[in-house]
Amino acid sequence: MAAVDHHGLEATASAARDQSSLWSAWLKVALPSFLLRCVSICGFLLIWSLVSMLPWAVQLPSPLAALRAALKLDPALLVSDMTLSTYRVATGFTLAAIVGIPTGIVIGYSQIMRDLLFMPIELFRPIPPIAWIPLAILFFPTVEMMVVFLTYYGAFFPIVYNTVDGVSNIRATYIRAGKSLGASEWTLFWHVILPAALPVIFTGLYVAIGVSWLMVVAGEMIANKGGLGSMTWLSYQTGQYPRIFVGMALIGLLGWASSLVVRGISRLVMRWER
Amino acid sequence: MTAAGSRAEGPSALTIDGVGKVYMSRQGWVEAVEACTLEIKSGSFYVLVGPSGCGKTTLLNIVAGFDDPTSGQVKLGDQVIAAKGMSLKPGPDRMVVFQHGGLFPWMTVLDNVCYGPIRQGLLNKQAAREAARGMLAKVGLTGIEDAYPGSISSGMRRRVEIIRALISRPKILLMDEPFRALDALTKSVMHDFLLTLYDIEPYSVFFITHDLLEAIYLGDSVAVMTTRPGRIKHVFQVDIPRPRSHKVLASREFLKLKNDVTEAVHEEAVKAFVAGERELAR
Repeated sequence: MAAVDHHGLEATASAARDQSSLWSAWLKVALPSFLLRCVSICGFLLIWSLVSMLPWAVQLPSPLAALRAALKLDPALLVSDMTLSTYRVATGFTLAAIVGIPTGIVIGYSQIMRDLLFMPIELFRPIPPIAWIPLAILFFPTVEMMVVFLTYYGAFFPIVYNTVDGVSNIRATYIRAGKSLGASEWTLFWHVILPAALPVIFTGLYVAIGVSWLMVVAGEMIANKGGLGSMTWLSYQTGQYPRIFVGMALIGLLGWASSLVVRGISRLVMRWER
Repeated sequence: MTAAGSRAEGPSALTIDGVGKVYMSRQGWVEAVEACTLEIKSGSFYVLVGPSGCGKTTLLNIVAGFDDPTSGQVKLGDQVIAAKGMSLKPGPDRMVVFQHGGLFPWMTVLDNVCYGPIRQGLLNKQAAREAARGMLAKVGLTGIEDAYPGSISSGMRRRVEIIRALISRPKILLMDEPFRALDALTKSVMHDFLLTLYDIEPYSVFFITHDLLEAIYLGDSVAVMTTRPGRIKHVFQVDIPRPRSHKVLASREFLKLKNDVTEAVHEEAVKAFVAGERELAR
């Protein structure tokens, strides 16, 4: 019994020691780092306030004014703008993934398809997606289609390029191992080539979701038919300057959240990548 | 050991007959392997050593069906598997354990091991999983079946890869410097793992390395390859009885062989070095 008690005591003691060393580690490492980050944000707000006091920056609201404007806005309207922009990004991005990933796979996998399909893609790539706006307005019958097309188009290239890259640069060892183990051409594709290319394909999706947001804002500013881009632009045109900041902040917030979603999906699909 | 004696006269598992490989590079035509001839008896452990870049891996890739010879032929048993102009066909009768590891990182250990039998249609999924579990357990690899290769140690990965190759019952196991990237301690554990498997059931092995101690400790025959273009310079027979343990590393027989093989390889390494200097000077 004495031995058991002794062990028990020792366990508690070591747990206490662990607890206290955890605390001291937090105090030494995590806390200063947290404080420094707070200071850095305060510094940023301070610089913003100072800049807004410059004599030629009368139109630039201070952080406090921006916050006050944000609180005065109708949340229902904000939510409807956020939903609309998110819906457009989601549609364009999903379409781009549905078209872009198979296209990239086919080009990366087969020399014939590469010769057949890659040239037009190469030709269009140097044209910045924003340069498509006038043509898109002329071509598409509705504003909705125009904005979704721009979002789709912006996301398409990073997806295709990364997929081609991922599929054509697979370690030869994996393909050789698959063939030696008896995989047929078709199973080799599904069991070896696709999973081996997935990390690079997801890199493409990650870049693409950012470009989608860029394009949706550009499209909405031109179209002026709802969405955060249009809200931000209208705030400028109607002289409600503090609202511009609200629009910008919400675009940033949603952009950040949607890349988190892509990252979450990639973690879910590639459970082996840790 | 009678087993070793009978092995020397037994049927041949692999015959490489006058195989050569010439390929085009930026510097022009390169002769990687020249008229290489060797025979591996069924159930024997054949090790090929030689200086870096001498064409060892090219030869193994030809045997595996990843690359085609520009002359000569390779026979597996009585069947010609590679010759000039023949289409490449790698397959489960010649499993490869790769230099940098060939386990699929996206499959669990168990899925990796039972992938071969399922794809070859030898076993259904259920039976293959059972067989894989059994085989892993037999060699003491339990508890990692559901882990991904990225989360187990490099030594374990090598062992799993060897099991993945053996479960397909290949006619010959091809090993391309499989322990090159391992630290010395892990390496010696791997040697004993391989020897234990081999003592249970002597399969035919074609093993490539430039570690001479490893070559003698594992092999029945140690062939020394010349510098590029690679030919077989000399084949040493290793008559150290099996089962072998680390004690043989200090035996007189072992040390004498080590001396002889080292001398043969050193000569080639010097030639390779001088040739390299000349190439750089050009």
